Amino acid sequence: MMLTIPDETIPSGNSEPADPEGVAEKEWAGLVESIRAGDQDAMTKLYTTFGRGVRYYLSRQLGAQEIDDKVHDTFLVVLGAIQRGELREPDRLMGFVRTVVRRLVATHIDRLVEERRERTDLEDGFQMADERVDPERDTLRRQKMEIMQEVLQTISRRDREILTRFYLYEQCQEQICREMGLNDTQFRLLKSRAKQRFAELGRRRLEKPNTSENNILRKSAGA
Amino acid sequence: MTKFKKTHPEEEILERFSMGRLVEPELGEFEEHLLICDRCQERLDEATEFTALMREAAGKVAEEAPVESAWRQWLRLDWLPGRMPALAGAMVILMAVLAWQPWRAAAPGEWRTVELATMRGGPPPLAALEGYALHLRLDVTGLDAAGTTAQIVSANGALVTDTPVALVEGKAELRHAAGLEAGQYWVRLKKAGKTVREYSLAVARR
Repeated sequence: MMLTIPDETIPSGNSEPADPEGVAEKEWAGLVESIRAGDQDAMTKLYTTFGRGVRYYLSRQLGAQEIDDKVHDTFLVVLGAIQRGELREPDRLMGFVRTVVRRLVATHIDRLVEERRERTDLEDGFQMADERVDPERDTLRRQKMEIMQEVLQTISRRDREILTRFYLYEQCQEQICREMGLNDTQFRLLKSRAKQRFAELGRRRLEKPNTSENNILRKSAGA
Repeated sequence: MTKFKKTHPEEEILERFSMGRLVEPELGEFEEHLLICDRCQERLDEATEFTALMREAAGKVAEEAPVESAWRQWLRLDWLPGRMPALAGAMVILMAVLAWQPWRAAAPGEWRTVELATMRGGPPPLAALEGYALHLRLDVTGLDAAGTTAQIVSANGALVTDTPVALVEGKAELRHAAGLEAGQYWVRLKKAGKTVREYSLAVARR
């Protein structure tokens, strides 16, 4: 996945349409109306349109645990609101789904904080999920880290400082450009070159002789 | 109509989102787009992984780099604005050195790693020294720390820094290159704007 060149071919700006499910904005109102009328197909379409995205968002915010329940809860809230006529702007359905998901995340976090306050001792039978990655993922990550370190060690000191300021010290682009005497284009070009270098070094590793580690890398890249 | 309704967002948007720097209204528009675009979900995963790898690798490379003494950094004179007559330049250097007293400052690039955990009762142990760049590793046992950011707040409530954290080997990590003056600080882990855990950080005088 990470061994492809940063996708400049991905349509951005004025190019390929980004409406993969074919539900144009003007159809949101029709979908909402159908759900309000009790159309089961419309409810299914709501789930197929947003299900994966909701799951993705929840997974990023909360981790992989209890995702199914949270996805289910999200759609219960959305459907309930639609059926009660609480969605005042049907063409803003996407925004409404987003709001519901964000509130669910915030509520979940509040609950975790509250539970922690009430918990007095970790030894009271509290169980935690084992979040260690499996050996294969661990090997893959280590390889990618080696590649990234090689990228940083083979560029100029100045370029390395710029990238370190941005990614490690999290200085903003404006500050870096001002202090290092760069313009926006130069800054973006430097980041783009680093990404391309990373992809290039990764490809070179793929071309090396078969080792168990390289096989893991190939498998990850879909080669 | 959302900004990303007809097109996919640029790489820079994905990068800013992965670093926690995307704000409204772009944040809302992007998150709505993510709800229905599988391809951009994949692109975001790639951008997030790249950012995390770059941050961690930059930290390792910075730690392994030979430490340049404060005097040598000053002698490079990179900070002098434009050209100056040699004598005037020397006077500026002399005055700055007398004011700055570099023999007291920590050498740039000198890092200290500090492990923080929440504790109940008793005074917090001294955990850091002033002048050192700080690499903080926060215990997140029992906490879903994905997507959190960390704030360092001084004793009087002033915000020192607000930065996303990286999850490394079960700990949330952040770096503060500028170091901290001696005093009491609080490190707060935030998620969706709420504080989910808080740590005490005492910085001692050298």
